[in-house]
Amino acid sequence: MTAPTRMARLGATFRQHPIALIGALWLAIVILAGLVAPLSTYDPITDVDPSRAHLSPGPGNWLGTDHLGRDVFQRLMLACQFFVMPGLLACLVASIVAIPAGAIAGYRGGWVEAALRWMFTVVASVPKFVLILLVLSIYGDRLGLLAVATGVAYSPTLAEAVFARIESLRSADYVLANRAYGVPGWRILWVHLVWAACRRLIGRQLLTLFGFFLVLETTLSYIGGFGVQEPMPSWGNMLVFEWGRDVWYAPQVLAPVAALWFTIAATAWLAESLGEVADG
Amino acid sequence: MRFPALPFLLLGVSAAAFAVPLRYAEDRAPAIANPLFTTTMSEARLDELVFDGLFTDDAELRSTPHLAEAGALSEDRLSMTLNLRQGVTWHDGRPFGADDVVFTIKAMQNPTTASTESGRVGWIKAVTKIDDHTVRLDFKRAEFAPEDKLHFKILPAHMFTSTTVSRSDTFRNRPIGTGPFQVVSFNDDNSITMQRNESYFSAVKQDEIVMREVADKNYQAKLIIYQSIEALVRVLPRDLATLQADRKVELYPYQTNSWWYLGFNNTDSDLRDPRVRRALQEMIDIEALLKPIGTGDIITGPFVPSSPYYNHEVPAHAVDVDAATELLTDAGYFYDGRSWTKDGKPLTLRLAAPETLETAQDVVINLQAQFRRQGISIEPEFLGTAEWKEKVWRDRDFDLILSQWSFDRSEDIYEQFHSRGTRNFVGYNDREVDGLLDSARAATDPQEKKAALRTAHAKIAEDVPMVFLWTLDSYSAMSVRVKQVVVHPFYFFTWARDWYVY
Amino acid sequence: MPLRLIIGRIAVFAVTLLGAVGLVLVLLWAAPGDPIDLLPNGEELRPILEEQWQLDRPLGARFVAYFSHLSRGDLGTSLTYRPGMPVTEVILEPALRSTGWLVAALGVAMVWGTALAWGTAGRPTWNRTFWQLVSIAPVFLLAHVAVNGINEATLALVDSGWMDRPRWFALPGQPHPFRTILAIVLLAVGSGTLSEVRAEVENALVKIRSSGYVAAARARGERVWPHVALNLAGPLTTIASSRAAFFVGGLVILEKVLLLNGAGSILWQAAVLRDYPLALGITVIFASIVCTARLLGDAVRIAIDPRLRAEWNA
Repeated sequence: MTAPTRMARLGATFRQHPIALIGALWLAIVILAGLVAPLSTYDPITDVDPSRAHLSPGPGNWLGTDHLGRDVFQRLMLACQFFVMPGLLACLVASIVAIPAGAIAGYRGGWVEAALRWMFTVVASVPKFVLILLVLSIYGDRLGLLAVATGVAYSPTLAEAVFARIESLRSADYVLANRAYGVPGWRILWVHLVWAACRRLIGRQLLTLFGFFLVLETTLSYIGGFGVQEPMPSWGNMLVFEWGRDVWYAPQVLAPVAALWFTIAATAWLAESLGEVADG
Repeated sequence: MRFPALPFLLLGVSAAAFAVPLRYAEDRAPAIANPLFTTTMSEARLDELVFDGLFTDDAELRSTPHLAEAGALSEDRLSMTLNLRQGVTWHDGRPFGADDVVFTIKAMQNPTTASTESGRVGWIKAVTKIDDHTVRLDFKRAEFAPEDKLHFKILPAHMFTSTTVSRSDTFRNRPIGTGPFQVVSFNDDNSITMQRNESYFSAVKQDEIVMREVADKNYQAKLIIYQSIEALVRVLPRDLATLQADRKVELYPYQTNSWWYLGFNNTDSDLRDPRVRRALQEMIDIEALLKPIGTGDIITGPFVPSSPYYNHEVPAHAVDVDAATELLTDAGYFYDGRSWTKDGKPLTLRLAAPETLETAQDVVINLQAQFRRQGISIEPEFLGTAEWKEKVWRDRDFDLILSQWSFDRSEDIYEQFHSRGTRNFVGYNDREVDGLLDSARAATDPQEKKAALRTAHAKIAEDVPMVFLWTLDSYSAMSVRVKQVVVHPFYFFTWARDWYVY
Repeated sequence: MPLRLIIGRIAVFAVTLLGAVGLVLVLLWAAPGDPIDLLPNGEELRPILEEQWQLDRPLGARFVAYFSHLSRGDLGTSLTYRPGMPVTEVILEPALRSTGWLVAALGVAMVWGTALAWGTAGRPTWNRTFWQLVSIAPVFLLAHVAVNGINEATLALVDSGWMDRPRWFALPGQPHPFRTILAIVLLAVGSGTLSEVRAEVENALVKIRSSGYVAAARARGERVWPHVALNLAGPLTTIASSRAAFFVGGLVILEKVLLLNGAGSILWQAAVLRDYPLALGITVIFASIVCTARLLGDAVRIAIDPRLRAEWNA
């Protein structure tokens, strides 16, 4: 009997974890929205019309309008671009910084390992949020910078994970066999170790990083002063609840909460399902 | 007889037992309680409660003697002799006298102290103690109304070792003044408790005042509605409706000498042309911008309408799209159906606004929308304090700025509009206005000053280096339980000794 | 415990902390332009600052100067938040308060997570799913929902006469222990902490309950819970010390949202006001907390696990 194909394994994964499938679909929608949003013709600036404030959901505005008369659904969609692209950038930065460092530390051992792991620990000693807040206040508050800073701040976690996996496989039989056959070190490291053995692990970590970036971006824009500012929408700055004016069950109030909660849950479920299937 | 006394005694005891503190909220607690280093309004308000000046404002905002009982101006107007009030003591019991006045002025002038208030005494050449209760001031130039400039706070000489005062001086932890209230404690939660100065030279009604730091403006209005504070210094326009409807809160309007403007970068290639600037002015519906953020008066020049220097003959402008179209076409721009272009490039302007200016966001959004509908693209940038200094003050790296100017009683617009002015961000340069501003500064006759500034108002309005927007009505909110409230437009607490929470 | 082990770990702690401080210093000094430019009242303070910060001296000298001040407990002077006040004076009490809340939150998370796991170990229940869903939310979202939910509910109850206006009303405007307790609870629950603790404890419990030595102990008639407790201590300590950094970040956010007066809220103000010595000082304190948590975690793990001790001794 032949080994199951990749598609078959994927199918099995999702059958075991139907929640992960829902999560994956939702994430796909969100990421698509984020990538497509810059092309949309919706203009958050000219949509302001205080006479149409607080409308109920209807044909023209699927989730109603907010206190300035702006279409909540469109803003929700538009807000995706502020965490999707930068989130992916953060993942890229973390990968570039952490994966080689962790892999080399795990494979080489010795003083290289000690030095690299010490650097990870040093960066990890400053709480991520504090580090990012400092960077934003010193270098200016730009989304791209936020993405890069998050990627760098998250690197130690990713690097340590990769390091742990590769270190445990360093003296595995098949690695020694490959070496005995004269396969070059870099090929062993990158193809056999990192790609074959670590990719699910890396996928899990990057999903978590994506979720972390979303949380970070929305936190900053919720608190204000940093992050995405009006009139640009962010799921964080849309989370406004004014007493006496809003009712908690109104779509305008619930929608951003639900969107944020569901997206974070989706990344978590997907990461969890990636973890439960045995790694190669 | 004991019987009749008893009810009064009980009343007095119960009044004391139930003495209610007057709690007011600030966005940010005063960073330093030393009038030499005041930078924020929060600090200025604290200074108003704890310290006194030689003169202060009366209810009609005219200078009236305070720590100085009387002042005699010499005939040549180059010096003034002040008789200080007798029987005034500092909060620690020591007597107030001429030494304190001499010390304060010298400390403010001392360059090593780097006092933020040094500008307020730059016009004094020398200060001399004549005796314990008499001081003589010598001026650099003839002064017409020096008491207007003698409102700065006096500090106790005996609390300092020299006139070189540093910010870390322990005075900040135990500020001693002559004011109606004295600081009792700086608390853990950044609040400040102050109590009545029992030996103040006039009656102080309120027993205790507490300053609370409420960093989030969203909560301030809610606090006063729920009676967790008694006073809110400035009410956000969006909270006005809610507070007006609340019967336990009273709103007190006041006007500060501040106005908003949309400045042009007059040195920019597009905006150098006055036709372009005028066209942009014709496109703006100022009333529509003002309405969502509050109430106020639309202005046509660099003064508030209640100012004596305001030129009421300059007409307010109305939106005139046709005129704008004509002006832009004249200036060489072409409307391609969607936007105004020159040499094929659409007209795009970068607008800088300070992050810290409340409601500026709403104005910018609406302004953007207005311009966008008429074919001009605006790219807004909200700048933090440091960036503002860099981009606006230093590099003039903007096309438009939306901001606000605040002036003290002298309403000196020299720095903003003179070609050599240090805050002339918009790059305005006009010989005639320069001359008018120079003569206004030098004028000793108030009528002369008025005439010069009114003419300047008219000329500036004509040149449109900026679009003058409005002066915003400010309101403070007080609980109805606070009696005898009169609020000072700038310093808020000037007459707080009469206030009383019941 | 072998002395070598302790000294070794402390040396690592010190070097790592110095590294973290150095990292932050480099960040600050590598900023474009002059740090003085970035201050709101920079021009006014320029002559004083240029001398104090020795901006003309080479980078190495400035490092040495900062560390030598640090070793004497001198974290510099606040520039804009409380001008002239030494940083240590500004942040000492707030930092102690923040640390207290951190430790409390860690405690709550451990106890609550263990209790939850005890009840649901091995069995899928709605209880587990519910807490997973709640715990997954970021702390600011939980705070948003909690504050507004509690306020609305209380307002409804007060208006309809069911209760008197409570003293902590309305959140978070009033300084009241309820606000602090809410913060501690939210910190313990949010950002996945609670569900992670529960999951780890559950794994450990499942392993323990099905392990040979527990069955043997039960057969012998001994008490089982000391074994369970000791074996739980390991994973719990690991989680606590690794979550410390996360908690600090969460606390900084919660202090801002719930208006608490700890070191976190001062950090926000320092960041906005560009008060670099103050921000640096607070960061140093936070990094110390994280490193100390790590050190303590190591110490506890080594103390309770004879295998680790043997490994080190060998």
